[in-house]
Amino acid sequence: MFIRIKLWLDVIIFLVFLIAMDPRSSGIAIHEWLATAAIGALVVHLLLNWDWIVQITRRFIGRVNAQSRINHILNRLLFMDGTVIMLSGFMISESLMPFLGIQLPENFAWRELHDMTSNLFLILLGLHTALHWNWVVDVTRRYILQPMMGRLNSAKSQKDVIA
Amino acid sequence: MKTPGRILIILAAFTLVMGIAYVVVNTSTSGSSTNMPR
Repeated sequence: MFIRIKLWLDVIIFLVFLIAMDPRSSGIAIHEWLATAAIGALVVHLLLNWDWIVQITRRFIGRVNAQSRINHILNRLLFMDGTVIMLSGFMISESLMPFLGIQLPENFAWRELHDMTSNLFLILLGLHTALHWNWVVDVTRRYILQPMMGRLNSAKSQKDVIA
Repeated sequence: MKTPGRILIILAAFTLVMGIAYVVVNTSTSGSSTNMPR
């Protein structure tokens, strides 16, 4: 059940990311509100993986295999980069901040930083997914494909019985 | 009781990184012309 929740949350975060990453298609308002809502999903993602984070942080200096070490460094970079994206996004907000009645001074550096960190995030997210690829494939097969195939097979056998 | 504490740690980490980024950007751009081109 726990893994199933983790899987569906990751699927939702991925879909939100796909929609939010192209504000020209989705519109600036959807981009900003969806990305802000994703903060909540990210907090839940971190909470669900809390034990792993604590375990690796404790063992980081000592004995831990290279992949876990790289994974941990990558996750820290993702967290920092994601946070800078959020901050720079708030600073150049055209929909969310005006809606909240907050006027921020214009500074082109925030826009540049937002673009730069977003491009970096794409690379880091690709590496993050690649490092968890075995988990993604295994869990997708176990919790999405196999139940789907099971249902299809039982529907087919019911149809055969009726025929 | 564990979860609220963990949420606070995550929010504190968010705030710390945002604070550092804010100070770095404002320090590096103060005095220079960085307004949006119109």
